[in-house]
Amino acid sequence: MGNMFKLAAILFLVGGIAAGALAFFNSFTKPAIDKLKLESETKAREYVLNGLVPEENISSVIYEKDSLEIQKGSFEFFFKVKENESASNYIAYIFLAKGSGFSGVIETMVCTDTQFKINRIKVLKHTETPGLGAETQTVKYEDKQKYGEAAQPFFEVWFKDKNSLKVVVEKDDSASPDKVQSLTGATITTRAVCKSINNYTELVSKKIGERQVIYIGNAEDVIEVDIEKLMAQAKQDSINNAQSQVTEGGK
Amino acid sequence: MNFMQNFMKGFFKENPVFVIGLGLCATLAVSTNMLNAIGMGIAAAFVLLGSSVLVSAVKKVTPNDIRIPIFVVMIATFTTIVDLSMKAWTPALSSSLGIFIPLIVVNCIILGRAEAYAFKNSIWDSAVDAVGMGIGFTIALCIMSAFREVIGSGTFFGYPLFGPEYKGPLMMILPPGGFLMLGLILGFFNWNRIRKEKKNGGGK
Repeated sequence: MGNMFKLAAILFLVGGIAAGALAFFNSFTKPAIDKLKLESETKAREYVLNGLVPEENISSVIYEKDSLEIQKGSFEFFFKVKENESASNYIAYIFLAKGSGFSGVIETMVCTDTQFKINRIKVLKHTETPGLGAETQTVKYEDKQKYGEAAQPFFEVWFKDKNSLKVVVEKDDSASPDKVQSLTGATITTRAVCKSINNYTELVSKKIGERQVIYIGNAEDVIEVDIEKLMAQAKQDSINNAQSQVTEGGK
Repeated sequence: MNFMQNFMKGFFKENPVFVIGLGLCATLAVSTNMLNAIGMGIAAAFVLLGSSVLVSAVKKVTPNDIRIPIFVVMIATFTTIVDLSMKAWTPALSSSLGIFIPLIVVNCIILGRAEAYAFKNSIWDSAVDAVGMGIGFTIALCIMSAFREVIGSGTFFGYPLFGPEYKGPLMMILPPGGFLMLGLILGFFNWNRIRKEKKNGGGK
């Protein structure tokens, strides 16, 4: 019995020394890791904003942080972007969409204008199959030669100007103006990215809570729809229907 | 066994992957390109060196009954140090190797050398053995990666060898290609060993 306590005490001691050593080492690496994380987040935000804001003004835009309730009690951030301090209107929303792909969670940073037209997306994290789903981050060799550092992964280009509420894989809705083709052999990955963008856009739009505007038809031929009005109308219609059924049933 | 023999044995004669058959999961998983192979090899060699030296240093005060959990804690500590260092100073490599860096904890080469060698030998011998085995592991990863990257992606260290239009057999950078390549290389090592034994008259 005494021996057992002795062994437990030794293990406890070894664990304690290991924890102390790691805490000491962590104090060296943490500032560098935090700095890198911040830099990569800023870089990713500027990358997805590119095109919506002139390149020379990107560094001076104002990001207003807001939160989204993903599940009950679980929050994530998104950004409302203003061109500068004095601007009164937002010009873009940036959020991190997460969805389950073929072999893990795919994190995609999305930038849309205020009408949820996608400016750019960037797949930040994934664990998809090399050569198939992992192609989301592949830049074509000819694009690299042509555009150098500015070359974008071909997958990301497919999403340009699509409506983030309705972007869909071509195989699921070939008639949609917001369809994107699926990656060869990786429809699940493409679908996961589309669905995550749809879901998070919906959360963002609910959070904004203003008069919500969505696209119907082509980007050039925009018809604005007030969702709140439509919802109220639909609610009223269903109440009317139910009432008329009750009346008919009672006859 | 002299210094050079002890150092060199891990390279080919007792290569941890191709001869002893340890660390196969990591080998199959990360050997899709050369940069990953070298990064993983160096990370594993560092953990191997640190844990072997420490195991050897404390072998006289380590109770035999709980030596394995103590080894595992030591290995996990060094692995976490490598993981944090890579996240801080080589973030691209860290994200490319992903989960396989923390999984060095369960790499059998490291626990195997701690148990089979470092626990029974001096600090100096254990350090030499660990460096040799670490280099051997890196060599194994590089051989696998070179074939898989060149055939599967048509690149070497990311540099295109056969032009941008090359569409290699994708299978080579997927798990089946890993198994196939490993089988072929293991076959070659065995064939070479048998050939040498026959030459020395050991195969009679």
